[in-house]
Order: sequence, then C-alpha cells, then structure tokens
Amino acid sequence: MKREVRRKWAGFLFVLPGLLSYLIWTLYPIIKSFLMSLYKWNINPRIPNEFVGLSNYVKLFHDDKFYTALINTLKYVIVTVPGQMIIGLLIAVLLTRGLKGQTFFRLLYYLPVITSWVVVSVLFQYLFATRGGLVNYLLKDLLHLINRDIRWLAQENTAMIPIYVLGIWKGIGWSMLIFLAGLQGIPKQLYEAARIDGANGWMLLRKITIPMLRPVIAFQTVMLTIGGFNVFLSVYVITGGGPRNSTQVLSSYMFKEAFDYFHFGYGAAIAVIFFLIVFTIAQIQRKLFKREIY
Amino acid sequence: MKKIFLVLALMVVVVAVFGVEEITFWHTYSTNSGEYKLLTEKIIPEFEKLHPDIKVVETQVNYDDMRQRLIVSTATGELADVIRMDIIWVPQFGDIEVLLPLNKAFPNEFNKLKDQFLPGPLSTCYWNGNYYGLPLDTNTRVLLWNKKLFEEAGLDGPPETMEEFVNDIKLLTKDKDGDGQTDQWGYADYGLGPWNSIPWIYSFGGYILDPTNSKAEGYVNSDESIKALETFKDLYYDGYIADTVVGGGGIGTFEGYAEDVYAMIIAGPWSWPIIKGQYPDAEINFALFPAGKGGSKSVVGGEDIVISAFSEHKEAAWEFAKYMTSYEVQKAFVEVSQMPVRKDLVEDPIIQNHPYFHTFMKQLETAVARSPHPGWNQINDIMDLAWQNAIVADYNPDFALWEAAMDIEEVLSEFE
Amino acid sequence: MKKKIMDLIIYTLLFIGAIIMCFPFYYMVVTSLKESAYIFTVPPQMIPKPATFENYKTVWVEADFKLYFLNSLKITLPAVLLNVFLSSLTAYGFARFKFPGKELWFSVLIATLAVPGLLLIIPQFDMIRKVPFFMDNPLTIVLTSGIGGIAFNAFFLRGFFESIPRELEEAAELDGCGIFKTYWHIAMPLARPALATLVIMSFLGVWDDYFWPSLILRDKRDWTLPIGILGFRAQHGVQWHLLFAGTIIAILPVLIIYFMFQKYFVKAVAEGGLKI
Repeated sequence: MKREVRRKWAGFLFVLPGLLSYLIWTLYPIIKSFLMSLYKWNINPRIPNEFVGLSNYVKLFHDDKFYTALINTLKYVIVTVPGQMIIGLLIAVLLTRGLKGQTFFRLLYYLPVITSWVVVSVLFQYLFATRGGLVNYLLKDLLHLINRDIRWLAQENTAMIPIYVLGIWKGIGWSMLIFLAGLQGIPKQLYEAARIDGANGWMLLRKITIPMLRPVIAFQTVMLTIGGFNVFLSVYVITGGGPRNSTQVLSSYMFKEAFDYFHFGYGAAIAVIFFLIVFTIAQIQRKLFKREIY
Repeated sequence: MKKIFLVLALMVVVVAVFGVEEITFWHTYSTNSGEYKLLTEKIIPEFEKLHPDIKVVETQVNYDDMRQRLIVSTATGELADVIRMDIIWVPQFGDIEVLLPLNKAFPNEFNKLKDQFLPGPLSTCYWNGNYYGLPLDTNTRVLLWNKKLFEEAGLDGPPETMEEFVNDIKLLTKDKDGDGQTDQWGYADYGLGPWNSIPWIYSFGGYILDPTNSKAEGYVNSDESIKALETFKDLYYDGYIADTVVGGGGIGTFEGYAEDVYAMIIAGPWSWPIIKGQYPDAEINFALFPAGKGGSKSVVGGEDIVISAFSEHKEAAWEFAKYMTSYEVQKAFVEVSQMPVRKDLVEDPIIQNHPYFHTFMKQLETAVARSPHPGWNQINDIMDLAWQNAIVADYNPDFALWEAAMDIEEVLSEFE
Repeated sequence: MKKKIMDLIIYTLLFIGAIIMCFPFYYMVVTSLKESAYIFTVPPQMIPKPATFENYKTVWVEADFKLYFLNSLKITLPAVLLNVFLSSLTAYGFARFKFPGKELWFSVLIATLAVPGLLLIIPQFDMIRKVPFFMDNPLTIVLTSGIGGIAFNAFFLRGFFESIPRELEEAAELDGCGIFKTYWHIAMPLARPALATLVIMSFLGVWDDYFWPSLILRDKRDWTLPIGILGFRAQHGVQWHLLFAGTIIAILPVLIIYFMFQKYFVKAVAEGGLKI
C-alpha cells in the first residue's frame, strides 16, 4: 500500500517538469489564440480589443477563399501522404534484402529530411522554372517527352505539382526509416514458412509484410497527415499561394490574413477550425486502425 | 576657439549629469552594401559627435523579416525607437497607432521641414490627417531597353509613346532558332501586382483609387484602366510578353536583359549594380516609361523613417530622423546609390553627373505612390488577382476590374 | 544466378532513386563552388568551371559564419540535452506509473500535436518580453527549444519505455534501488536507441530553427546560422553562391550527428512499437 502511494507521487513528479513546461509553452498559447478568435484583435496592446463573439467564424463559413484553401490542403494530404508511404515502403523493402552499401543508400535517401524547408523550397522554385529550369530541360531537351516548356508555376492546374513533388521528395526518407524499423520487427520464419508453401514475392508483401506493418502504417498515416495539414513554407516560398489562389493552403491563408492584413482575430479563427479538422481526422484514423488491429 | 572649448565643456557636463541617451534604429540595409558601410562608419559616428548625449544602436534586419519583426514587436511594445520602413507599410502601422504622428508631436519643426521633400515620397507618410514619418529614400521603375536588339530590329531608340511601345514590343519578339518557340521577347516583368501594373494603368490615364483614397468604383474600373489591362492581356496572349509576368519562373528579368533575351524590362535603380555585378560588360540603357493618355507615369518605391509611438526617447529619435533627412546625409547616401528625397538635391550636380540617376529623378517627377492606405496590402492582392484573372484565367478585363472595384470598396469600408 | 540478376536490378533502381534524391544537393554544392558570374547560365552548368572555394572563405571569414557556427553550437547542444532529458522524464512517468488523470493528460498532449505553431508565436513572445532578462539572451533559446516539442517526444518515448521488460526495474527496486536511480541506471541505458533517435530529431529542430531565434536575438553577435544564411537574401536579389555555401556549412553538423546516431535510429523505432 505504501509503495503504491509512493509510486503515485513518483509518477507525478516525473511528469511534472514536462507537463508544466507544456502547459506554459503550448497549452496556454493555444487557449490565448482561441480567445483571440472572439475579438477584433488589435496587435497594438494599447488599443482595446473589440469583442465580436462568433462573427469571425460566421465570416469564415461564408469565405470562398477559406474553402479553396481547405480543399487545396486536403488534396495535398491525399497526394503526399500515400506518395511518401508507398515510395518509402518500396525503398525500405529493397534495402532489407541485405545488399552491400545499405547504410550508404539510407543516408542518401535521408538527406532531404535533414535539410531545412526554406533552402529546399528555394531550390525547387528554381528547378521548376519555365525557361532554364532543370525539370523542363530534362523533359524537353534530354528525354523529349514534351515539345514545349511547361509553365509549372504559372498555370493553375500545374502550380501545385512542384509543391506535391517537394512534399513527397522531402518525406520519403523519414517514411523509409520508419518502415525499415517495422520490417526488422517481422520474424524471418514467417517468410520462410510462406516460401515453402510456394508464395511469390507479391504474395509475401500482401499477406505478410503489409499486415505485420499495420501499426507502423497507422503511425505514419496519422503523423504524415498532421504534417501535411501544416504545409506552409513550401507554398509560402514557391508560389505565395498563387496563381489565383490555386496553391493557397490553410496555413498560408491564415498567415496572410493575420500578418499581411492584420486580421489577427480572423486568422486565429482559421487556426481554431483548422485544429478541429486535423484533430477529428487524426482521431478517426486512430479509431479505424485500432479496430483493424484488434 | 575659446567658445568651442566652452561648448564642448558644457556638453561634457550635460552628458555627465544626464547620461547618454541610447536610441535603437532598425533598418534593412544589407550588411555587405555600401549604404551599410556609410551608415555605420560615417553617418552614425558623425551624428554621435554632433549629439554627444545620444548614442545610436543600429540593427540590421533582412527585408523579408522586417514585417514579422515589426508585428511581433508591436504586439509586445518592444519596437525600436527609429525604424526605416517600406513606404507601403507606414499607413498600416500608423493606423494602429504604433507610429508617432510627427505633425502632432513636433508641429512647428515638422511644418517647416515638410516642404523640403518631394511630394510623391512625402505622400507615402500621410494617412487620415497625420504624417507618420519623413521620407528617407525613394526610387521608381523606368524602362531598360537593349540597344543591340533594337538595332537588330531596325529601331533607333526607345519608344516614347504607348503606340510605339506596343509596336516595338511586337517587333522585338522573335523565334531566333526557328524551333517554333519564342526565344526573344519584347517585354518582361516579374509579376502582375500594382508594383508592376501601375506604370501601365496610370500611363494609360487610369487609376486605382480616387485622389482622396476613399473610392474605387469608377476609378479602378475606369475606361482607361480597362484599356491598360486589355492591351497588356492582348500582348501576353499573342506571346509578346515573357511568361515571367505570371510567375512562371524562367530566366530572371535582369539576367534575360543582359543575355539579350528580353528587349525591354522595367526596373528600379538597383538593377544597375545587380546587372553590372553579374555581367560587368553589359550595356544598360535607361529611358522614361512610354507616355500614354496619362503621360509617362511610373510607381514610387522607397522607405520612410518613422518613430515608434512607444519610444521613451522621442526627442532624441526625432533628432536622428531629422539628421538622416538632412542635406548632407542625403547627399552622402547618393554616393552609395540611394536616391534622395529632398527637392534641393534634384538639380544638384551630384545627381546630374550620376551615371544613371537622372532618368530616375526625371521619372520621379510624375511617378505615382501606391495609395497610402492602411488596407493597401488587401488592395494590392485584389489588384493582383484582377490582373491574374484577366491574364491567366481569361476573364473579360472590364468584368475582372469591376469585381476588383467591389472588393476594394469592401476593404475601404473597413477603415471608415 | 537468378539472385544476381535480381540484385543488379535492385541496385539500379536504388541508384536511380538516389540520384533523384540527391541531385538538388549536388546542384547546391556545384553552385556554392561557382563564381557569381556563372550562376545563371542556360543551359545550367553542371560542373563548375572555374571552381573556387572563395565563397566558403567569404562566408566563413567575412560574413562571420565562424561566429554564427559557434553560437549555433552553444545553443543547440544544451538545448538538445535539456529536451531529451525532460522528454524522457515525462515519457517514463507516463509509461511506468499510475497517477490520477494520467490518460487524460496524455490525450491532451496528443491532441495538441496538430496545432500550427505559427499562431502560437505571438502569445509566446508576449510571455518572453515581459521578463527583460530573456530578451537578447541566447539562454532563452536554449530554454524554449529545450521545452519545445515535449508532447511529440513523450509520445514517441512512452511506447519505447513500455516495451522494456518490467522485471529488470522491479529487480533493481527490490535490491533497494530508488525510483530515480532505477530510471537513470536501468531504464535510460536500455532506451539508448530511442534516445539517440530523439537526439537526431531534436538537434535538427533546434539547429534549423530560424524565426524564433531571429525575434529574440537582435544583436548580430548572438546570431545563429539560419539567420546568417537568410541574410544573403537581400531586398533586390539573392546571392546564391554565398547562400548555398552557407547552407552546406550548416548541413555538415547535422550529417555528423546523423552518422553518429543513425545505427540506433531504425532499432529505436522497431523496438518502440509505435502505437497511437
């Protein structure tokens, strides 16, 4: 009994410093942001803020640009999350065949992950330039797949492509590493037994690898979805949301309203709705995966 | 001699009794520029010699970060005493009472100083009855024309009228290697926002807002404004204007100009050092923007020097602001390629003998400031979208601008 | 024989993939070795001719990157230690003990993983500036980075601590080992792979952080590498050759940290059994 009490207190003490710093540095700012969304909030502290109740939210639900940004963000998530995971899994599977130079390849594929977003965004903007850009140079002059330069960033229907490609390119390494870890956890005997039963590579992948990786897939889906919703710097640097808002995503729209137009209350309202959406999706994903696992 | 000694002694006493007042100064001069060297090695030390009781602490901020820094610092009352601020932000920060209205804080001195400045740059400090700063430096965009390409096309000089301009743009667009793709364009710019479109709109005789900055309808969609957009759209659709205007990336305007890809571009005075830095042998020719029904009009850029309303050293800050806009300092900055804002420097030999400032100073006489309005950022984006709608999405120009008029009216009503 | 062909195909695939993944870096290195006049040639120059290390010298000496480099190190190392220590305490607490409200708190932690950090900056800055000691003080960055990301880290480590067999710790406790000692001497060494992984992630976050330090550290002498790098993006143009040289300098330590700890990386995730 005494031990129980002691352990209860010990546990509490263990989490206290972390929890306290979390409360001060994350939860309090979140609550403050929520309060901001109820005001016509002025950044100058000497001007009193005008309480406007839910009118920022009312405005939001009638704002076409908000819906455009929401749809663009969802598209980004739908394209890049499976994109990263499928390619990441493929590389991970190839890398677990025990070939020489595994570590070397692992490092190369991981390089984009450890480079800052600002730098790679600037780089991609240059790679996808219409004239003199490497992508067009490759497609047109070297591979002859197209006979006219594609105006990647200037057209509404192509402007999102460089941003998708960057998102996938930068995330493959992370996904690959997590899958590598997951693959190590699968007992070799399973494969051997299946092979004896005459299963081919594809069947092994479908019947053993993927089911065994389910927890890892679940983890990645939730994490990458959250990450995808937060896409910001690539849009901000490469297209600034244009042409004609065709690449505007939630975070860049929020940033614009708050920091460019000084509509801080409105920006906070976008953030709150944004948070609720991501939270809900993450919860649904967790539920779905749990049900499948157990 | 004795007198000077006495004054110095008095100053020492004053400093000893009252201590040195420290003022902070944020600016965006990049650290490897001549302006920065001049500021830190000469201008500030000389100011401190003149005012031994004031010490200036300068901080360099990247242009891209200045805005965020100003916003966060506003939220926390941590602003610098003196700031060199992009002209288009001044009304916005003035409107939220972050900047000191100089005409109220120092009425006598301000009214005396006011008339020394060129009217275009001065107007950028004004919003709602107050002046929130002094102009510090200015610039505008003029036409750069490539002499070699002009000669190849049999043209002997830059266009002076709109008709010539449109004509020359067409003549100067070519497919040189015959692969069916254009590889030389008559005109290039890097965007469709007001910074890019104002020279067209205003030279055609159009407007964005009325002269009092309180009405858009009938101005932004006036016949002349529509005509400007229509002309630009037709040129772009027929392939005479490079893709860079719609943000397609591609070879930059400066590089393209130097490499004989773009026959004409429009650019500010910084184009000279940037182009010369990369292409020391490039020949650069400046000309006024072609005149249409509205004359030859371009857009005003530059910075104002402002004082924080939170400052606890307003007097010292004011001394520094006045010093930065004084004849000597403005003249010294001309040597490192900062264009002056004072009327008494326009005719000065230092401008007249400068390798390229005179075209810019001439253009400045008629250049238009982007409407000094706290909602300018929104207006800017609305205009940008309207031009994109017409040019990228093939909207009818008069419909695109009518839509813009409605949206701008809504922004204007936010500030009533 | 069949296996050999298979291997060859796989190698080829891996190589093509690696080229795609690394080409942008190659391009960055190439540009950092170019003289400024050769940056914008069409078609792009793939091998710098003439190649020069002058840019690195300029960046290191004239642009003060030596100083920024040291500043970055001085901030990042203690911040990473603090961050990892604090996260491990929290995670261990959640993994091994029962206390009132435990699962509720943990759910709150997880729920807020989705919050966009951008909008928290104003309230956060508002707190910092109220204490003048924190302004212009590198220590502030150490502390704020040290306590940042606790939610994700705790979540990441918890699973790992839970996967360690309880018996070891129980045995230690029976031997009279205190609770903290058990954590420090038994659990922590066993958690080494996960901690190493956390070091990499935490290092990356602090080392690359730009916006926050640039708000707090206004004195040039306190600047860190990312602030220095973006300084090459001036108002009217970018000095690509210097920007990329600066970037390469900034990437090197990350590579070293990655090399040092990468062998744990996969192991950590494998054994942690990531559960959501």
